[in-house]
Amino acid sequence: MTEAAATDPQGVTRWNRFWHASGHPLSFGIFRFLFGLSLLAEVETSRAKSLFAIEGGFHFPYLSLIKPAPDFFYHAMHNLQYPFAGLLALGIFPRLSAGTLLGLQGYLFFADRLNFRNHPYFFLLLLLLLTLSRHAGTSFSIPALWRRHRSQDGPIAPLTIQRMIQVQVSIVYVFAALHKMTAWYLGGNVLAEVIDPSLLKILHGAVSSGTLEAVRLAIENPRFWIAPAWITVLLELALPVALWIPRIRPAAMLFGIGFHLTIAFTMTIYVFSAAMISSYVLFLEPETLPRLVDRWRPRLFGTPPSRPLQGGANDPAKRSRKTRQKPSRSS
Amino acid sequence: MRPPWFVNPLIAGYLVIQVLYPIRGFIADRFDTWGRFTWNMYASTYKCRARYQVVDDAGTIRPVDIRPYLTRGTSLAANTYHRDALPVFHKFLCAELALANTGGRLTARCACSVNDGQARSLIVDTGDICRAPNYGVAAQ
Repeated sequence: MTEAAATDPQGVTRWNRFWHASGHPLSFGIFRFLFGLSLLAEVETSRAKSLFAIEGGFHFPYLSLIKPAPDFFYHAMHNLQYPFAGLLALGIFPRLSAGTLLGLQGYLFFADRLNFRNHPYFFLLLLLLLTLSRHAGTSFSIPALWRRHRSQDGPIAPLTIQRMIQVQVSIVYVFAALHKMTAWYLGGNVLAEVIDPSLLKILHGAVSSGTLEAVRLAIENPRFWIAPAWITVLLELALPVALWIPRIRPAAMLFGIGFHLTIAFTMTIYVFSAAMISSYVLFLEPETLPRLVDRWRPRLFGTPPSRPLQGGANDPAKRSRKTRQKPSRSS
Repeated sequence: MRPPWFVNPLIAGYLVIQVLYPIRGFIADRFDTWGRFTWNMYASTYKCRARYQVVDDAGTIRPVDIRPYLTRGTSLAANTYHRDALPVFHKFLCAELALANTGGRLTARCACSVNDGQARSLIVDTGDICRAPNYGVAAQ
C-alpha cells in the first residue's frame, strides 16, 4: 500500500485509482487512429451541413459580433481539417493536431446556432480531451514505430483521458436513452419518420413489387417500430453499464457494434456510428490488446516479439510481479 | 503517483458540466432549447407549418417563399422555427424584402408541435411582423 492510499479517505483512493491508473496506451492509440479517420470522413458532411454559411442567407450567430465570413474562408477552414485529421490519425503531433482541429471545428460549429448537430458537438468534446492528453501519440503511431527501434522500454501511460472519454461515451448513451423514454418514441413514431426509406432500394429486383409495397407500408407504420424503439432504449441504458463490466463486456461490445451498424445503415449516420464503435476499444482492459498482439505476432509473422510489450503477457516485470505476489495472497 | 493539484478539480468540473447541463433538456421548453447540447438524438419529432405573405396597400396577397433565404430548405426551417431564432430571422427577412422593394406588409403564421402534440403558434397576429415588437414572435 502506498503512503497516499494509507492517509487518503477510501473515496479519494478509489477516485485516484480509477482516474489516475496507468496502463499500456495501445487501446488509446487505436482509438485515436480510428477517430482521426472518422474526422477525415466528417469533413465533407460538415461542409454540406453548413453550406448556408457559405452560400449566404439567414445567419444566426451565438454572439452578434460574429459576422459571416467570405466563402473562401469557410472552405479553407474545412479543407485545413484534412491534414490535421491525418496527422492525428497517424499520431504525429497529436496534441497540436487535435488542438488545431478543435479550433477549426469549434469556430465553424459555434459561428452559427444553425450549425448545431449532436455529432460534431461530440467530436468537439473528444478533440478537447485529446488536446489535453500528453499520451495520445504514445502508441499505435508513427512516432511509436520510430521509438521501437531506439528504445527497449515499453510504453506505460496514465489512463486519465481515456477514462474521461469512456465516461463521456457513457453520458451520451444515458441521456440519449432518457430522452427516448416517452410514449411517443416507444410507440415507434420517431423511428417511423427518421428511418431512411431509400433503404428499400436494396430490395429492388430481389422481391416482387407487391412485397416491396407491403414492406414500404410496414416501415411507414409506427407499430412496426415499437420493438426496435424499445430495443434502442434498453441498449442505450444497458451499454453504459455493461461496457464497464469485464465479464459481460464482449457481449456488450457485440450488441453495441450491431446497434451502431444498424443506425449507420438505416439512418445513414455513418461517421458518428464509426466513432462510437471506435470508442469501444477504450473499454478494454489496458493489457488486453498488448496480450493479443503478443499471442498473435508469432502466428502472423512467424517470429516471436522482438521485445516484450510492457503490460502484455510476455512482460517479464509483470510475470515476476505475479510470482512475488502469490505467497502474500495465500498468507 | 499523485497527479498535480489541479487535475482532480478539472476532472470533477468537466463531469459536473457534462452531467448537469444536459438535464436542462428535460426541464426547459423544447420550443426554446431546440434540445441542443442535451444529447436529444432522434428522440422526438418537431413539426411546423409556416406561411409568409406580403399584403400590399390594395389588399393583394402574395405568398413569400422563404426557402431561398434559408438556402437549405426544410431541415434549416426546422432549426429556424424556434422562439429564439424567429425574431432574428424575421429581422433578416424584413431587411431582404425592403432591399427588394417588395412594399406592403409582411404577415406570418408559424405553428409547431413536439411529438405531434398540440400545435403552438410562435407568432402573434400583428398585421406586419416587420413593425411589431419582437418581430411578431410570441413571448415565452
